[in-house]
Amino acid sequence: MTHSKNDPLLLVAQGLLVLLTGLILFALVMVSMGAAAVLTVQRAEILAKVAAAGAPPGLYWTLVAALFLVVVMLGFGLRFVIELGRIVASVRTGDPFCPANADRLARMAWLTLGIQAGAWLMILPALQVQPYVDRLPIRVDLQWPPTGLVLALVLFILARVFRHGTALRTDLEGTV
Amino acid sequence: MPIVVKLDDLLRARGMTLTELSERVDITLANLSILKTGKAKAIRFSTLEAICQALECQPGDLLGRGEEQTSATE
Repeated sequence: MTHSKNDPLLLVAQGLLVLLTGLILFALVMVSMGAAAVLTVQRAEILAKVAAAGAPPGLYWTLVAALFLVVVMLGFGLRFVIELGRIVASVRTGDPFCPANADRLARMAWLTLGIQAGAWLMILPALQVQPYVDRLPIRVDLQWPPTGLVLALVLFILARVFRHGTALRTDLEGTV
Repeated sequence: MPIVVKLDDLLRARGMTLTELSERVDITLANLSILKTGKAKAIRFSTLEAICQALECQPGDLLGRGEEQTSATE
């Protein structure tokens, strides 16, 4: 369908998704490098800062775990954007009602749940760090955003809708 | 029992080609071919009516059950 290929909304969406993929990849590389540095070259320096702030040495591992969680969440985010990009590409080719897209939507819903769970898990290290936040070069922003749950719900429902649409389309394909 | 489309027999009896029928009923050759080869999963009433009108026949002349056809040949 040429109409779908030239649809400005889809073109903008694809452009934005490419940009977003680049941004997440960049963040993923930077945070991974940061985590590697925290575990190696900056380890002694951070341990010293933790001790100077009067915090227990275990706080260092809390920070490492938090960084690891961020890497995992960014990985989920990257996969989410890739899946969405594939759906947009299938809409552009004029064939969105296929079983693959229903699977992609379901995967995106699980990824959203994973990101949401990660965001809530981040509260644990944040609570541990909070008492020392004015003595450490860290900023803590405690939030309980429920939007991820709503998005996951919408995606799970959309996956069902797509599965049904795919079945209807298969029926229609053999109709003359 | 499978539904059998007897389009080929009707076309032969009327000396008409699939392309000619396609032009008369305004249905694509590809769709008529799907119908003729028995690959169609469903047929619209509008398609059925158009074909019956072009071939001057009844829906029952165009469609049959596999078993019926076998017994008819016997």
